[in-house]
Amino acid sequence: MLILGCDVGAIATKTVIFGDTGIVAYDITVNNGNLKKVVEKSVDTAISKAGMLLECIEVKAGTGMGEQYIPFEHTTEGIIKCLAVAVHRIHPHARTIVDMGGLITTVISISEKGKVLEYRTSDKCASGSGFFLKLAAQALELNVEDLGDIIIPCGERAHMGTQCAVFGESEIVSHMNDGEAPEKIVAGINYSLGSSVATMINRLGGIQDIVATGGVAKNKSVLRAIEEILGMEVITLSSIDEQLVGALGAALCAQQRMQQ
Amino acid sequence: MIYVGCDVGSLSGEAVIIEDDSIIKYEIIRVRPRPEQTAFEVTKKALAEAKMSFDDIDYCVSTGYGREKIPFSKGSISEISCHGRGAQWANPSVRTIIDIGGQDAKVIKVDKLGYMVDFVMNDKCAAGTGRFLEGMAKVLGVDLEDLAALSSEAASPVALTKTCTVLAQFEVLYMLNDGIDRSNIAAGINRAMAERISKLVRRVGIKEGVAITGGVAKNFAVVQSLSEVLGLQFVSLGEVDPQIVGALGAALFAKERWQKARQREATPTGGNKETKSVYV
Repeated sequence: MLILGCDVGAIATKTVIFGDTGIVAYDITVNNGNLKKVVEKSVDTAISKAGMLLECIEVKAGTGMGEQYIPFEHTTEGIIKCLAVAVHRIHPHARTIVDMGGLITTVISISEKGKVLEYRTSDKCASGSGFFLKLAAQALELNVEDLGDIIIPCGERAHMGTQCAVFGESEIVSHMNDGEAPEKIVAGINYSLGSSVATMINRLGGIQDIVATGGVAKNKSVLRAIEEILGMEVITLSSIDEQLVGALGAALCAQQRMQQ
Repeated sequence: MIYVGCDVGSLSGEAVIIEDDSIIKYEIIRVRPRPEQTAFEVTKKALAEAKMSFDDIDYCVSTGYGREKIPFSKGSISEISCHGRGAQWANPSVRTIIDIGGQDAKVIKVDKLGYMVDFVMNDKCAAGTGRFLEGMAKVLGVDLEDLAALSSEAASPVALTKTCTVLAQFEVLYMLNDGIDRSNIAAGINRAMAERISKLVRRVGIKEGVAITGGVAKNFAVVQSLSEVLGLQFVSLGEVDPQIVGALGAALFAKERWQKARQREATPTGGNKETKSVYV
């Protein structure tokens, strides 16, 4: 049986086609322009990669803040539960999930059975979000994907005096004007982001294993910063792209619901 | 005597030239990469308008966040003091100044001579600063200057739920996706801005005679919303452009310093030399 899971986030739409053997096909499309069209495109791409037609897929599930833009009938589940279910399935030892998305960071504490115990979300302020990295990359004229490759000794990081993503962008520009080396600025940005995420993890107890998901989890330098501050290991799931965990969770939740 | 005040902010730079007791010329430019460059260019432009050169300046005081890097100024004074002095000069009844700049917002209380008594400031979060409006205008696809006019066409303003500039930008993006009228969104943005500022104002309280300064004071929709939210009428600054109040205050301090220096020279006993930088 095939299940489609679609996670419409703030920055990107993710679609997975989940079959008996695992993920058959997937797509990640950046949200650009009309959101309905973006969702359609992402779903179409995933389905055609799987060599399927939408009609052939028995179950369709949606999640994410833009879930209402999915243009066909589907079951829905909150993103927090989706993440918990997917992470628990792949890594049963996980007790804390750190989902670092495009706009919002969520820290979820889960039980041994994968049940959501408590969560915190940064939905008031974009300071520790992927969007901050995007603004930073733009200011530095670098690709956002490359920001994570820069790891330099902690003493050489440029100091970021502000947490605000908007002011951070200006601070980067003045660092550049002062002739600071780009890699030091990038290291400063990654550390600043890591420290706001680490604070959130600490507030929820920070029980290991800590699993990082979401687009920002692809940035190794941010993960190292969080580890340095917490003194704990932060792992990523090797069997799945960090950005797809929510979409997979949506598919798994739909599957669970059918089995009940 | 020619006195110049130069205010280098985060988004714009202003220069005001005063002679005796009146403003001769002023200029406002968008910031250049370095504060000293902004200061030089805006001052040069204002001097050119007045058909003068740097040699004609008798005393120059700089203010704003880039104030300590200005080579041609003889001293620097914090923008909080300068706003107090400038607003007081424009209208002697001013006791509270709400200054909304590009990258911060301040509420300054002054005494009857224009000296600062108390102040509160937000420079930690872009909400409630010019950067908020700038980001919103960008998402709406209008010029910052047109945001107020657009909002005056609104029939039913939207309510923004997000305070954060970045998150609110996405909220607006979703509204545009849903086909909500741009004028209603613009009105919601200006209202959100006013509500954010009113929270800052309430932290320090107000004393009658409230003036609004800074670039955002030129957005009449924000000013009107803020006056509604606070339940008061702002006092007029007369002919003075609200964006140059900081630079004007600096020019007035320049005049005061020059006169004090003359007095010291005239009195044989007062022998101490003036210092390059004095912080008020």
